[in-house]
Amino acid sequence: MRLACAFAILGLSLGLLALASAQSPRERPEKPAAKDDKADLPAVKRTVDRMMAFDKNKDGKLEKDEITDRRLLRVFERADADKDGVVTKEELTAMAVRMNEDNDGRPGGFGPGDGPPGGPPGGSGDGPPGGPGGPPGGRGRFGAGAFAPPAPGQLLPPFLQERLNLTAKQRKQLDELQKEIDSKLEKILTEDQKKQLKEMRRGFGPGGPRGPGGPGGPPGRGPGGPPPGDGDGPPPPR
Amino acid sequence: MHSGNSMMSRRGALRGGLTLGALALFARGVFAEELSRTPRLTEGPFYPDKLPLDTDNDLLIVNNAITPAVGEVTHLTGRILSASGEPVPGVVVEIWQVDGKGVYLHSADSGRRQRDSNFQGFGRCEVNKKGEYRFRTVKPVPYPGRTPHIHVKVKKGDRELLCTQLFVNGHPQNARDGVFRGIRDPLDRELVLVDFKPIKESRLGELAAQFDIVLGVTPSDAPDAPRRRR
Repeated sequence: MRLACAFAILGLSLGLLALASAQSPRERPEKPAAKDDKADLPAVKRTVDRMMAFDKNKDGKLEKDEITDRRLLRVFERADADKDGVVTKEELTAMAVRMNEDNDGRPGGFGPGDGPPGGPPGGSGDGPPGGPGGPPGGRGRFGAGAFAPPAPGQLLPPFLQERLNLTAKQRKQLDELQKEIDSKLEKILTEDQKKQLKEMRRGFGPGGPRGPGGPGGPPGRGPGGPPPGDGDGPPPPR
Repeated sequence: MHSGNSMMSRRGALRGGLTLGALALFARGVFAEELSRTPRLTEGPFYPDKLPLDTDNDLLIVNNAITPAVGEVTHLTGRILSASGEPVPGVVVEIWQVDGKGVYLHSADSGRRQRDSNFQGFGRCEVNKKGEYRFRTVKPVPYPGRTPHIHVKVKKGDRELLCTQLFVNGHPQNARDGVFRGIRDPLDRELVLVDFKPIKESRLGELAAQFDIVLGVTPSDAPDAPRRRR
């Protein structure tokens, strides 16, 4: 019965994925999008616009002495690919694409030390504050949601285990306790409730409940959400 | 704009003592557009619950004990500015960070673990008329689950104007840090990334770090701010 439900959920997920693909405005290319496409991304445009605001003489380029915010000189230098002291709009756009690529919520090195990752953190976003992705498990490294509440059903998130300096024996016991709780919870909840819980856990990071020690983090991209543990978030993007 | 002009004429007089670059940038009233505001970031759970007796801006020596704290000595400086580039006077900057072993000055953290008693862990500095502050501290080290960072607060009396963190530019753990990644806009991330550069003249291998903070408050908004100088 449980196996059939698992397949049903899998089938449903695949169905939704297919539906999403079918609904996308243009065909999904087989190769990664060409740079030109990426230049149109709102995030990339925003980065370009913010830097071009320094173009005082409106010549469509940035000269070094136009960068009157010394915190952003580094950005200018990175963008100046040919090191001629001038940043063209093309150089700026290329750099903006690179800068925003780090921001797309891909796993990018977020895995724990042992075991499969609990889940990538996502760029940042609205939705529940970032929390670790899976039940306590290995001693994996983690980052997202260092001070965030645990995912639903999770006894002690990895960062807390680390802070409490649990011994190996304690971690094992905690693991077993978590498994026991998980299986008991399974029996209490309906299938629909279980699916919802799974979705919620996924909101804390894909790879969710069975990922040992990995971080979760805020889901996907969205309008600026609060960083983990913070009451107010960063100021909205301008 | 007359305040801008007065700044321009003082520039000549001050050129002897200061790097022109440092003064030309952030020149008063020069901006038509606003400076990007420093992102607000979580305070975290370890703002000291019991302030040490010594809360000056030198985090290395506690009550004039001779032994310096363990860590890479860093001179951290910067300016507190409004979005229009003017110094915000009369504010206080506070910083707190873990010691060389990753322990905070907070009973919940250092209660169980051995804290370096020669590292103050917390410091305060009132800005001067130009909005400048400075600290002597150590380069931050990783803390379980966090990339190296220094917590920073800017206060006007009891009123908190900003709470944020600064990060070490180029540190590989930044890419995995939840708080850092929580800053969505990559340009905003640049605003909290700090270079820790060796000071050439230092025989002790000391570092210099510069962290300018731009507040979303004009000087006249801040309570008790002096009136604009004529």
